[in-house]
Amino acid sequence: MEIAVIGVGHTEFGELWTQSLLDLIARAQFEALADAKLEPEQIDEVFVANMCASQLLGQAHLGALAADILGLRSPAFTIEAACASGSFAVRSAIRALLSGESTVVMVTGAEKLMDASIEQVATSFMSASVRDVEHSKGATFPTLFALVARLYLEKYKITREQYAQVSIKNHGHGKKNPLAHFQRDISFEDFANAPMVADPLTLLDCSPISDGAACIILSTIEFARSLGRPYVSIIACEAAVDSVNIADRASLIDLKATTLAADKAFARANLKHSDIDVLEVHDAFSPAELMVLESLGFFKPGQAAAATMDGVTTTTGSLPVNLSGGLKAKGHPVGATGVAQIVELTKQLRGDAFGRQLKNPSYALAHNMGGIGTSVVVTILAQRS
Amino acid sequence: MYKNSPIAAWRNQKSAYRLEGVSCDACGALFFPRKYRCNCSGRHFSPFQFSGNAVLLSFTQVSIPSIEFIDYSPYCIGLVRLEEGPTVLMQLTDVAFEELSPGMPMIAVFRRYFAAGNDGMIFYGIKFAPAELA
Repeated sequence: MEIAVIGVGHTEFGELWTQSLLDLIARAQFEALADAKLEPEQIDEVFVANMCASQLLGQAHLGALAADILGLRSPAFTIEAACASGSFAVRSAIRALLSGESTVVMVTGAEKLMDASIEQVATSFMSASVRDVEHSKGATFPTLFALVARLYLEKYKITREQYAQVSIKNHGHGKKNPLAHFQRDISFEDFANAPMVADPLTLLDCSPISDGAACIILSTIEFARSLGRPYVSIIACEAAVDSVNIADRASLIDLKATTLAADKAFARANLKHSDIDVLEVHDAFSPAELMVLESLGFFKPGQAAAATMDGVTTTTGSLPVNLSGGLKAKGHPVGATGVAQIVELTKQLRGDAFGRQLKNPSYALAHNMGGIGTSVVVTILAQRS
Repeated sequence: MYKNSPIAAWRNQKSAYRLEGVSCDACGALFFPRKYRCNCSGRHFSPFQFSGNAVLLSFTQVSIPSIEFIDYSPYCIGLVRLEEGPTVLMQLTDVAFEELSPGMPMIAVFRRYFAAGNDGMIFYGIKFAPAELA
């Protein structure tokens, strides 16, 4: 399979007090249309990714709203898969193109969280867990991940300094991304003063609550070629799920859905791990990046921490991870995150990533997960010049 | 954002108040809470009463709770392995966070979880306490 990314749009991520959810959707969508040099009428279908608007803003029905912003009367609807909503929307849009029924489709991911209190956001995020067995017991998302992270960190004897390095590295990358929520360095000394969110996770181990939107326009390869401009291709977009109730898993620290989706994606793309030049992965919490890189198959279990300390996953390392700043520094507007990863990697493959641009990357991989590694999509992109 | 329904609490009382789970009629596997399809693909289950004896696997402290628990933080939650096999997530009680350690024997106790406002229902359930206190 091969699908073209022909346009991308991305608002800044952060505390965007002056902008509404619809403002953000509009900006990302019009930017993507301008990038693709298309008119709204050329879009056959709109897929919107969002998790919390119906709960926090009392606003559902975002598919039709996003289309209406463009004055468009094409089919449009919302897809929800917790923090993986964005990539499940991308995957659904790809399948609409592969079916032959659509030629050009738009995927818009957006989230507006800063209008709500932190407890309201914590409550909304917990709607991604099992209400009767996790949320009703008083768990929150950082605490659910902390329960898993404690077991992982203990099993592989990962030090405080090692998992702090994930956040330190991603902040270093975010500094070079003008759209990132945090564009400043942090140091290991900062961890000593960081408030504890859910032991063993401090505030600096957790991705922030952010507002933002991202949009991509996808088309068939034939349509992309007819435009006569360079494009980037998606050559695999595979997904898997695990049990939502974390206590029901045979292993609490193996991210099974991540491994399943990655194996399918590499088989579909007919590539090896060594072919991948750059990754965006779901670093919602600092140990998550280590666990994800191992579950994707880039490192053996327990070995991503030492590699991170050695600089392997930095801009100048052999496996650059989260050059956008990742969820930690770029920000994590839930519904937008999976779409934003594709925007970032498209820019890298087109050579448009400015201060964080790698030299001629050929293949890129995005990993987006919802829940505690529950709903996972792995997407592989290829440079086409 | 949503209603804490007394009807749902009534419907869930056996699992929430008594730690009652199920055993698979085909292979005998035990589950808490109930499952709809066993790993052996069986779909018929019988009620199973867990003893409440458990071992602590993992734990953390909640400091930024969701709305129902605002009045109760900080509090501890944990994953405990029941002596019959399944792992469950519950609040931990009668123990300070600093006193918790992996492998600690725990026992199920019946406690209050939260009240749904000043005039709403009080929601009770199982928490786990150190077994040495029992």
